[in-house]
Amino acid sequence: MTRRGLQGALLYGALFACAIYFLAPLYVMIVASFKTLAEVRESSITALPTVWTVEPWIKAWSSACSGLECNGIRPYFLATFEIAIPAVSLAVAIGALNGYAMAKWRSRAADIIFALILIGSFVPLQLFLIPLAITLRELSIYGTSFGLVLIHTVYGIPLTTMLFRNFYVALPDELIRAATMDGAGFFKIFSSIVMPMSGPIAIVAVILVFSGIYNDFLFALTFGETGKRPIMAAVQNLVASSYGIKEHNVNIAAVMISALPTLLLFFATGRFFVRGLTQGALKG
Amino acid sequence: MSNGLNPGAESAHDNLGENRACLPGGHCGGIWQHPEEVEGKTMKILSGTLAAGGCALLALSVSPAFGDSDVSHNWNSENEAEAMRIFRDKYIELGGEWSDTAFPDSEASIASVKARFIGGNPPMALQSALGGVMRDFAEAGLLQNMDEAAEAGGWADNISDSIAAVGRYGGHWVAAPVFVDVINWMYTNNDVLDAAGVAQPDTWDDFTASLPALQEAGVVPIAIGGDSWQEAILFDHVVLAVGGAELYENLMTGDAATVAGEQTRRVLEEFAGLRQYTDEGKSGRSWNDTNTLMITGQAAFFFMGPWAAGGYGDLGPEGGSWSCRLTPWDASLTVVADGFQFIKVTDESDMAAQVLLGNAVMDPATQIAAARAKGTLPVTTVAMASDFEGCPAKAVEAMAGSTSITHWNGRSADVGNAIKDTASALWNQAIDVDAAHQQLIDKL
Amino acid sequence: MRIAGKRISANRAKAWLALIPAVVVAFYFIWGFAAYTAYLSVTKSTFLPNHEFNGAANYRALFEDDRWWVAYSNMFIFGGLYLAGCIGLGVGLAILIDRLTGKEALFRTIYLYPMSLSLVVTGLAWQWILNPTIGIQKIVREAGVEDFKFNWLVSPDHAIYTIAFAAVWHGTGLIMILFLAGIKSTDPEIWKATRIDRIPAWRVYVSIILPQLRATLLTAVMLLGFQVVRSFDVVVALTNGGPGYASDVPARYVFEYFFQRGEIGQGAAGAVVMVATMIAIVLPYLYFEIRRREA
Repeated sequence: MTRRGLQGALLYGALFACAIYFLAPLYVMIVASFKTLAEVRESSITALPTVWTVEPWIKAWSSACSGLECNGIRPYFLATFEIAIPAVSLAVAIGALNGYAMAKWRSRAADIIFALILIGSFVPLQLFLIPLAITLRELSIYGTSFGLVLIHTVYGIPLTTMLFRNFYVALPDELIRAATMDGAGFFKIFSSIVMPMSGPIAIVAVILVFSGIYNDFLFALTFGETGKRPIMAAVQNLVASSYGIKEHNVNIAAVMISALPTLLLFFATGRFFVRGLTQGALKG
Repeated sequence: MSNGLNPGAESAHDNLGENRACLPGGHCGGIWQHPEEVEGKTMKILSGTLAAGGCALLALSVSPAFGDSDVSHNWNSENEAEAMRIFRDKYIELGGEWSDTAFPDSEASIASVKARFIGGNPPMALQSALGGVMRDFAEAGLLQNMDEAAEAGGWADNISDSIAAVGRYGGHWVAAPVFVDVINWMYTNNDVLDAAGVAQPDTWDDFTASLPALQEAGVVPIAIGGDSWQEAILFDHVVLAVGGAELYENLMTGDAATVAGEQTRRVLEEFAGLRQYTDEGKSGRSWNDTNTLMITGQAAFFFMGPWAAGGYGDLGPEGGSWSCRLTPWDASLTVVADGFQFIKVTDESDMAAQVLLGNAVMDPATQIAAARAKGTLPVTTVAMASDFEGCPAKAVEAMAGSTSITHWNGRSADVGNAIKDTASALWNQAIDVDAAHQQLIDKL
Repeated sequence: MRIAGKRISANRAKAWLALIPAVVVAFYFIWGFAAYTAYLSVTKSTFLPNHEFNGAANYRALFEDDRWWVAYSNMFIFGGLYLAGCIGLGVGLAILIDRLTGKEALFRTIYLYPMSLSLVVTGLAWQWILNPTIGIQKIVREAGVEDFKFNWLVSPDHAIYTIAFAAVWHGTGLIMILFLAGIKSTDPEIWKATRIDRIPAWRVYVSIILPQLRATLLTAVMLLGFQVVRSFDVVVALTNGGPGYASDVPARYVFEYFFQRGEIGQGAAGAVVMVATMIAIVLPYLYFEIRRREA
């Protein structure tokens, strides 16, 4: 074998070996979710189903029980979107405006606020739980969708602000200066010059914030509405408390269903995502 | 704790009520709260209420802003859910509108209720063991005074005074006790024992001697899951093996000489010694999954509460392929009252819902039906021994002739946590027997 | 000129208006809340917050608790392995993919998709694979190696490593993408020059390209560090802190003390120690990096 051929083989070998690590869990979950209960208990987790069945998926979606409720995870799905859509819109819109103000109207005070937010994103969320509960109580929205919309908007803002700020810093200042000279104001510049250029980073922000909210567990667990818990808390609860002989295939199917929206979003927007990420997040 | 008394033994099979009357009063004295003892705490409630009022000034009041008429519970196994369904149906029949939130275990449901207290949006009722947590909540003024409903609904009519005391705090009704759970069951897969040529163990020595043989035969000798409360339930059986009811009671009440003594040390040693007879999959496993090991013939013994019995239906009647026995090596019963705590709500419709729920769960016929479904004993004295079969019937029988002691789950949270923490740390090799002993001495 | 100045100051005012949400988030929802929790840590709060002063008693109880120290040191073990794993593997994969001439998108997708999944899903998925009675150990044993042992998930000494293992699976893709972009953005002339000098490819990466990617490394460390302090979900889903409390982490410890145990005071003390630790690590690094870049 030539030296180049050997190198190529090693290269692909290494890439394939790593691919196994990354694909194994997905493979194991997919095959398990299509097995009958008897088979999922007997057979090896790597074996393909001898009889393929969609029964676990149907059951997980619409009739698996948690406590007395046997509605599967469908209701939690809708509940999660009810929270995620307004929260993503708000967090992205506010983050864009904040990022623009910080990047293009720099002042020492704005820099300090940015630093406070940036360092703040390292603060463990546990520090916020008790005061959040009290705040939600004072607003009478504890245990409601509004409460979670507020929480996710608030804690989405640091990320969106950071993304947009870093993106806008790279825009030439001359653009803004020229527009100011032409008489455009702060908001006018934002809406007519800055916003139209924000496409790539906005997509990244929407994907990241949506995934963050959809995949959130801690807030869902602590502040979720009774019977309408957001999906991750609901799935974890279903897996932990489903009764009788544990239906691993149904549980795994439930986990797969809960993973699908963000997974599909990723596959659908992967190209944008990678491009946006490399343009935005890198330039800090 | 009193012992020796044995009234009602002769009538054990006739009338559960008579047994019940003597059970907590006679045998569980000092464990179930005595009414006199409770009266003394009125001051504490008052001061608790004042403290809560003070908090309100600092925008931290605990009075809920609005209510949500749901029930938090951890009855998530098939038979438990069936019991809840029976209560629900009665509640709906009485005109209520039902909603509930199920949790994997009691710790999770109590955690949720605590979080909801802070958020000012607690559920209307919490199903749990009636013990330390209830007293903590009541002391903080978070439970509803249900005296009127209890009076009108005749809650006290069909239960013994000592059980009634469990549902009261400071002389007022704050909870509806519905079941008496006997916790110290040993489930056995008889087919597995037969296949390994092992006889039913009657003594602790028999039991420990059977374990290597079972392991040899390729089954898991002791089924156990990964929660600290499961580990603590196994621990109970070892305590009973070493020192019976007396040791158990002295440990739970933190008797200094007992805790520091040789017996306690032996308990810890024996307990740690069981670890080698469990399987590797135990970590993180729920009790339901662990029960599956038993049902599918992969394990021989399982120490679990009455809620596990419902899973064995597929194996046929009790006594055949499987059996449930109360700790064979000691005649004591560890018991805890299970019921519904009524959380303080201000919304009129929620308060009405609480009355309906209270009346539904205290209805004797409903309670008996639910107890049968759950495989445990109702508190109502209307129940007859003949109402029960299988494991609960054994419990009824045993109650007449044994000493009942309050399980750690019915005691203060500190005691429960001390037992769970220590048992779990030792079991999972975070500390050795010396350190575990020291930890018990420090915590109890 | 005066008009322009006026306009600029009007715009400055509008910029401040736009920054109101950021100000509220920074001063109320982040640092105000942190301060409030710090305050709770010196009160006698049990399952409800109260305002009775308790001095340093909660901290004393915390520091005397073995469980806390296990959880606290686990944060460093997990954090170290997670950062090393994600960055090591991520950089390695970025280089491998950079060497590829085709199929780049395929591999990139395979390595990146776990990032779209939640840590709850990650934990639950790995739980099945790492469980010795159904996962890898069983498969290898059934394949003939009967005394094969891989029971880290249930071993008190090793459970924390499995959490890092699952979390690295989740986090590597993002790091790979960041570095891949960094590598691609370096000057292609480097390759022409080094080819003439016959410098091997790996040396070009190690000595020339990677040193240019300090900014990327900073981003990577920040993004991953952010995950470490929030490592609650994956622990709950994978081991729930077990066996016993061997794989507990401060985030879970604090949550348990807040709600399950109803010891808000001690939980708050734990949360404060967490954030103090984070600040002690992040601040000097951030300061150093910013100084470096400004220089």
